[in-house]
Amino acid sequence: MSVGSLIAFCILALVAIFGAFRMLTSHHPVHSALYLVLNFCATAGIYLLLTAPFIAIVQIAVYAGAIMVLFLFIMMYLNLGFTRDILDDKRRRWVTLVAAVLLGALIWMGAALHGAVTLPANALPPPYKVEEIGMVLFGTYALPFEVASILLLVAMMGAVVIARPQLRAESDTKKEAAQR
Amino acid sequence: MEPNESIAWVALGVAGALALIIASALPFISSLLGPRRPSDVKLQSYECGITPEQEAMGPVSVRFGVTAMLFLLFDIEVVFLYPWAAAFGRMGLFAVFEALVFLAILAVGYLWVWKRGAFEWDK
Amino acid sequence: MGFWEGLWRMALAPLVVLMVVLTTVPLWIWLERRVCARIQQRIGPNRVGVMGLLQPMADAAKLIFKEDITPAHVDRVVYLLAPIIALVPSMAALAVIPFGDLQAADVNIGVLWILALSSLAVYGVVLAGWASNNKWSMMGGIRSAAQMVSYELGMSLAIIAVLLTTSVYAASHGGHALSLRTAVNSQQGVGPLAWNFIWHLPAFVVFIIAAVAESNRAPFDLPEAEQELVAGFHTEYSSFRFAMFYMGEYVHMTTLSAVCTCLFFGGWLSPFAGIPLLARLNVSTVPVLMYLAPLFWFFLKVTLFIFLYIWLRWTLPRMRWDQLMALGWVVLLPAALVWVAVVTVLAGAGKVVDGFVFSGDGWFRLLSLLAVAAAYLIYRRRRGSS
Repeated sequence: MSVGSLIAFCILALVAIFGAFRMLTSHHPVHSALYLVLNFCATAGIYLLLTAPFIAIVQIAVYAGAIMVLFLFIMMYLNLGFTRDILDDKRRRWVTLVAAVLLGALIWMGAALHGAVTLPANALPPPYKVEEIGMVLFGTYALPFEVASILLLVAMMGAVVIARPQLRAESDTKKEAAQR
Repeated sequence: MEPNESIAWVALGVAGALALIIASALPFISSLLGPRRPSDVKLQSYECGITPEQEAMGPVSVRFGVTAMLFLLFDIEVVFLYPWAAAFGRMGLFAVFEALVFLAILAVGYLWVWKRGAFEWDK
Repeated sequence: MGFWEGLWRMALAPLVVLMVVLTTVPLWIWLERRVCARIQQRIGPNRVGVMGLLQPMADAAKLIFKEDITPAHVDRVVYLLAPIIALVPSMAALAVIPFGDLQAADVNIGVLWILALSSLAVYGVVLAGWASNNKWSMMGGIRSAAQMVSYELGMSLAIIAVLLTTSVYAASHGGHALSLRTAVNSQQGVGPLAWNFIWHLPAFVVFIIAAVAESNRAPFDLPEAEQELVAGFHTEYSSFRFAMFYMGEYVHMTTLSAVCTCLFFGGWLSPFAGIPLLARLNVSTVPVLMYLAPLFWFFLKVTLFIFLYIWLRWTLPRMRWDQLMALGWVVLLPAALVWVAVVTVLAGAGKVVDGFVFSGDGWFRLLSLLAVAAAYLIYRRRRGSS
């Protein structure tokens, strides 16, 4: 890793940690969501440093662009006000901290068991082209890929089924208003 | 990475940073140059002269949520299609056929969602 | 590579590109006001500078000296941040556009960069609307978000259709399939006949409609529909923060026009290239023109698209909200999806019969023309019978 990419990594990692931290401590859910977007963008930058541009772009387009827009809509729909209950409650704060440390330890142990904690110096994979992802995705992993499309299909149906009662209630109110 | 490519990525980062700097500098300069004479009426929310009665951040229609959810799912589909399109020129016919199956499965989902009236905003 | 070349490629080229594009914004505003005036049988601004060319500069100077109001009930940080977020993605997206030889960052996945940034473009407007804590702004912001995500799908699929043939070109001629430079190179041939807008006509139409909707312009300007929402998401903004949204709109138009030019209109290629007699006008032998000609053609094409935007805006009435969403989801999305499937089949067939009478590319073009013609005839017949 060259000095330049080391510096870039440090900056991106700090931004990512800052974003994650502020996401937890922000007073307002919409602010939390925006800090999460910042975190996603910084993570995307780290993917770029790992010579994985496609994953970086997907991180931005799907996570920052689509999932977070969905979150924002839901927050606006539910009109979530100012909430601080988790962090204001002292006991919860400690429980959260302990849980976070335990989770971190678990991940570390899992990685250590597979010998992935310290990477060998030449661990960085050779740069690949997006074309190659396509070849692998539609070649070796053809079946999981098709299964993924069925998953998307089910999710699509689920989205509409869950919202159905709400949608019906809304159109009823509209009809009543029109009759009056 | 090849040297040319890493230079291009650095340039991309520089372009993003420059855009951010220019976009932040402009309103900052303006806030320095402009006058600052706030008054209660000026700082009110604009509602065509009527005093606002309630907060604007109220609930919105659930249809927006449904739209965002469907967008998310289709967006994932589109993202899957990009590497496929990039590799299309070098692929065998099997992969082409496979993508058609993928598109067909999603078309079924699309038609189902359509029939259920997810895209009808006037109802 | 020497120091100066490195400096140029890493820092100066991005700066030059951004500056050039920002300079075009007043030009587009002037064009918009003059063309709009002509359409409404007026004269338009013609006093400041030659033909009124300095009018947008005067407006900008006025706005920068105005009071920057932050209303009392807003969410302050997000309110101040929103105009910046509205401008940055469309500016940063310009970095991967090849204006001939001039390109800020020659990355080989330019199309993906555009995809990522256009998905971030939603934030500026939706956050402005939400943070303003104003009913008009809120409605405008949330409408805009729903509109932009809906039309993004059709646009992405239209791009994928073009990528398929670009990828076939890249496989035989070299180059990266996701680079806009390759997309332009794949359109070399007999002048405009080789450009994608003919052979990808459905994708082109979908892209243009989606581009107008993405930049929130009439007839899709519901986020700021004056008659119902005052000014929509930027109701509460004043001074240069308002101007930022205004600039953002034009930069966004420029970006989308440039992407459209690269994907469908042959980018920097001359319309005379490859045509037997006119090719003599080829200027590539004259040293200075060799660099200027591609830039000239590129900006001419971008100007044409901007003119199209303006023409549409002052000609078509605004759509109704349910019609707008229906157009995105029920017309553009399936149309683009079907076209991707059709191109898959046709270009796949072209690859199989490659070299039989025509090249695979030639077969694709022939079949694509037949498919569009057949679809049109079926449409005519069904319309005639009902």
